[in-house]
Amino acid sequence: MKIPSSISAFRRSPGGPSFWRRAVAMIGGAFVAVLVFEVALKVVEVSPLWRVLPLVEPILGEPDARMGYAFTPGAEGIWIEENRARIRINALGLRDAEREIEKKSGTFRVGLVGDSMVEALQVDQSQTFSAIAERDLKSKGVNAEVVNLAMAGMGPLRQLVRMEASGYPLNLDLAVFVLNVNDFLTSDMTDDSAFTAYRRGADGYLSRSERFRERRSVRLRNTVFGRTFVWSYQNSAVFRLLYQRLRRPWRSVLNLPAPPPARVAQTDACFNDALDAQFALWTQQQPASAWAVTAHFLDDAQRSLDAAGVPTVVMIRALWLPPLVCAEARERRAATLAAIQTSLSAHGFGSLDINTEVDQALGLPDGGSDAHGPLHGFGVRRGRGHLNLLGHQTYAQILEAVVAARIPASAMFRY
Amino acid sequence: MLFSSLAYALLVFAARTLSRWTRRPGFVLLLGSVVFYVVAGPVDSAIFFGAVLLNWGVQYVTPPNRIRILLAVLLNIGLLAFFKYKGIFLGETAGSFIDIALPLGISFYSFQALAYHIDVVRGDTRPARSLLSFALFKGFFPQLVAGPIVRAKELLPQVEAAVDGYIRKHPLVSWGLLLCLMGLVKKVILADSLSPFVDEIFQQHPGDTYTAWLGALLFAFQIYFDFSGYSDIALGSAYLLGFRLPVNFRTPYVSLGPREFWRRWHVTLSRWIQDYLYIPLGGSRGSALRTAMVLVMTMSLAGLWHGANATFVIWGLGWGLYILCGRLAGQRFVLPWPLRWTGHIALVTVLWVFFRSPSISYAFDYVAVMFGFPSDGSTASQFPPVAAIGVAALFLLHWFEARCNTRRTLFALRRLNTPFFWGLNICLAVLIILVPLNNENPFIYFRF
Repeated sequence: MKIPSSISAFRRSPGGPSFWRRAVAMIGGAFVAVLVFEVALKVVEVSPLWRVLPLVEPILGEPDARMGYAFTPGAEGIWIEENRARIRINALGLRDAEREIEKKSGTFRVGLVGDSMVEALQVDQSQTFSAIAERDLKSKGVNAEVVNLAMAGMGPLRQLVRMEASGYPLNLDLAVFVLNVNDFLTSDMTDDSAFTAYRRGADGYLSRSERFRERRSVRLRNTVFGRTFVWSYQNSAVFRLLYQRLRRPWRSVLNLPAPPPARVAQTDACFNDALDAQFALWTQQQPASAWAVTAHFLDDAQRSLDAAGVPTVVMIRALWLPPLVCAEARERRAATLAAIQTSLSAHGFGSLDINTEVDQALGLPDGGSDAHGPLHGFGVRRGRGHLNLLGHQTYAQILEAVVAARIPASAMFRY
Repeated sequence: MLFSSLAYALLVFAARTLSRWTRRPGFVLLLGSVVFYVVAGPVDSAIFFGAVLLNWGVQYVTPPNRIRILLAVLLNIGLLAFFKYKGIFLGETAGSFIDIALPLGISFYSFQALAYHIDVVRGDTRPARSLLSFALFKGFFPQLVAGPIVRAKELLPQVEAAVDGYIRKHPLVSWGLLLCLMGLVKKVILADSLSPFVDEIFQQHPGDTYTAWLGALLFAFQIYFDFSGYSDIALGSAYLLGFRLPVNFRTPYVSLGPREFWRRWHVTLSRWIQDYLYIPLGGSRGSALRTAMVLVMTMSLAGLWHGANATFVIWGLGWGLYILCGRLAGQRFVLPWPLRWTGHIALVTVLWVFFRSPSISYAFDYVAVMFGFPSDGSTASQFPPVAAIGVAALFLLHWFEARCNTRRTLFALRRLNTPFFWGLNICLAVLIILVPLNNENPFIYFRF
């Protein structure tokens, strides 16, 4: 069989280098390219160009035996989704300013826990609503600290675990949970593959389960391999880039166009579907399995917070307020909110509805999610989900009122 | 399939490897083109392959005379009119059975096919020998979607050689790889980074003169980096596959006047317009008035080619008038080059506003803000003065690109044509492709 000329070209020829020498040279070139790219990304990060040029998203956390996943103390990076912001995780592993574990006497310390809305990686630390509220309180003579314990994706139980792991050691005077009510209806509360969740034991009772500790990433975290891996993705942009991209579906890795959606969902201007589900859960205790988990969580949280002696306020989020024209939906929402607040109160928790508070803060008579649009998003094609600067200022007012109502006289500055 | 995707890089690699290992490189390249187009979707593919067959049919059934040209015009301009300009002829067509999205690359392959038939009839080129070579000429994937608009005499001989089993092995692999890398840098690093700022300014309507100029200048660079980046990747990947395509951009913002600009911006379209519109309509042969009318009409049609929106027509009309004024002024008003360049770039930038704006009224409002007449409801600028330094840096980069784009660079590359440099280029290109988080930035000219 005749060998095609191009294959024979790879064989050693009298005038050129061998195939292997060429291959080694190409690999050498690729290695230099990786170094050049790494240096280029570092230069972008430290120069003003970080606001404009492409960057690799940071990974600020690592597998954790207690939480499943936690911030790495001292981790740094530039957040690039929705809005760009320089992020630094403090020495306690919190998305917050540096804090002492020991609370100074006379200080009123608040632990704020929530999901990505509270974590607020899209803005600078000083622009988060926890930081603004603390600043404003101090400017009014209140010696308060608002410690941000939030992390993206934290549902109710993860927030409680976070509070226990990172909040209680800080000797808190007040715990504030920002709970997305829709999280009570997801499987996160019962799926322990990645984080703590409730599982029904052989005795039929629900209890906390931490099967995520069997995950390879958690098991290997404290081995040399695990430490090297975490160090690599937190310090090498190229490593992080390859790690993040190659974990995606092959269609995304190849940049092939996504298939068209099977069905475009109809817009539900009155939020009927979401409100019906919440109404059924809180007033009719349906579905029974979801209510069992919800009730168990409330009992669990009450036991934990009572034992720690921390008064608690729950800020209820994402119970959307329908516009005035949706009278029936508004009634259902009011009944749902009353049921939620009754349940929380029965467990000793204070509560408030963020939607109502935002409407009052903005002077809006009506409601509806569109009315809160200016609080979310950072511009065209930059994402619309998280709080922008106006959103943080508004939420800060609400949080400030919550804290101010519970401040003892001893926490006022003495002049 | 985006040029700035791993899928495209793999397609080029597979087509290059297989076309060298097989005795039928033409067939492999056509297969590559089919794969490239099928990824775009079945409707786009069916329209494209239907257009190929119909154009081949026109050549097959008609003698090389005016009848063939007439049929070719009816077919290709008819396709364009049907898919691109139906809104103008039929009004609002939403919900009608012909409400199909603009097929990918239709403006480019329609013009290319039309030019082919005219060239064959004129005797400027030989007709394609087979359907395979004609299909590959029309569908050669590096130039399929957004040009360059290649003339038959440039590409057809290369295509027929490939169909005959001979594929040219360009020795300067580094050149092809470097072109691809430069294109990716322009598209992914520069154009896509400018895009959110431009969208922000044009979406919110600028509130002051500074922001308005900033938005327009940033768009000028965004569209340049986007389109010339695409063209660089097209030229580079064609070169790696053994083909040479004509250069489409020669750093247009270093030009000092309108005619020079069009010799540097979208060169193959300028050449097409000159050869198949401007000269056949009379060119500069008639009276001054007729020449002026032909010029303005030609440029307006060139604007219309970009899309069925009056903003494009106004953009083209503006260019026609600008070129006309440049001609009339001639050598009578020779300003020092810094003033000429500044005035010229300012005019180019103002014209880009019409290209980018959603409507004529919006464009005029925007231009009014540029010249210090803010409209009602204008807001204060959110952009710091330091952003102007960024624009200056972009001009500097452009000037540097013009300085580097010389034969001397090519000679220098000969020394770098080593496996080490190939590995460096390929790895950098792959890393750049992987950087963006999403694929929401298709090439701007893909939609034309």
